[in-house]
Amino acid sequence: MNESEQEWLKGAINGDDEAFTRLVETYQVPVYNLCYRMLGEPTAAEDAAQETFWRAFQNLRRYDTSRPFITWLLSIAAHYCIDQQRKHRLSILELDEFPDLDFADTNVPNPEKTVSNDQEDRLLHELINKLSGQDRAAVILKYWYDCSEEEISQMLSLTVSAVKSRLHRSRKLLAEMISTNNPQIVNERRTHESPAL
Amino acid sequence: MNHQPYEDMLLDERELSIKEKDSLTQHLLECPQCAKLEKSLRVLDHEFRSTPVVAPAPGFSERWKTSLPERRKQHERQQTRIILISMAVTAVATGITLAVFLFPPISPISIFANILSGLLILVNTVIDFWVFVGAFLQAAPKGLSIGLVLSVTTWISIILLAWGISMYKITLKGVKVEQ
Repeated sequence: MNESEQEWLKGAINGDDEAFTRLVETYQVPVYNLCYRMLGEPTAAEDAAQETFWRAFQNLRRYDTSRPFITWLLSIAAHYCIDQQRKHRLSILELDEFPDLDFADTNVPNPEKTVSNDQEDRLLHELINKLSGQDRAAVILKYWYDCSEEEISQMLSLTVSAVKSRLHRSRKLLAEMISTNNPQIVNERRTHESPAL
Repeated sequence: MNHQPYEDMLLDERELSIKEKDSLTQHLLECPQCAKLEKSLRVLDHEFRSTPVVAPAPGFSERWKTSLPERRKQHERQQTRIILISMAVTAVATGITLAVFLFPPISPISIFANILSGLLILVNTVIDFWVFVGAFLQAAPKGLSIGLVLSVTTWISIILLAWGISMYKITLKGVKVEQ
């Protein structure tokens, strides 16, 4: 957090709305991206991101300044999205089958198989949509935000070992979904692959 | 074949020793199941790393700023509701506590009988009062009776109106709460 951000934070804690709006401008993208990845829908993500900033604004006095501000914001956003997802899941019937996914094999040079960003977005969402709220949050924080397992554990109020086991389980499930729906990728790769590690 | 240690090596994303790496590479050449898992994980990692960060629609902070007064109002209303409910709960709790202390342990039938007799006394008092008012109005000059009725009705209306407005303001507009 740079000096001006610290000034805005101080101002916001002292009730300066304009200062907090500047913090909103600064952190809108990471917060929105997390909400979008969690909820998979732009309108819901916008509402969740706005709600996150409102909750942060209301609880600014409780913010522990020894933690990075973005970590605190992402923690609020993740908890809110997990709650929203739980509510949403109660209202829909879970599908037992994996979705029909069609991933482009990115390592094999094959221009015809290139998919657009939008499609990749949708496919990735379908994939992570199969994870529970906390598993999804852990995966998103790990891969999009490069958070360490300790940071994720703080954000999601879990133990480090719980985070590790959630990531392990999620990766396994996601890999199984990919290989179940795209056996051709796995087979094709044999001829092009580089040594595993 | 024991896949578990190799599966853990692939899934845990921890730094492997040279010995572990060699052992895993060897295992992947021999075991199609783990090789399949490794390839799927590579596709997965690529998907995650290549999907871009999504930004909100332009004007996000403006929308935040615009929504702030409405959110504050909503928050104040919510606070008011909480205060009113707390007051009501406190009043009921106080009433129950007082009833427990003031009334000696008596049977529910006698409590019911007491309430019924209390209600009868109240109804009789109201009837007596009404008879008294009727007699007073008949005895008094006509102009005075009409004036009195009008005056009482006006005052009751004013009090009811003031009460209604206050309740409306409290429940709908809320009470200003310092942030």
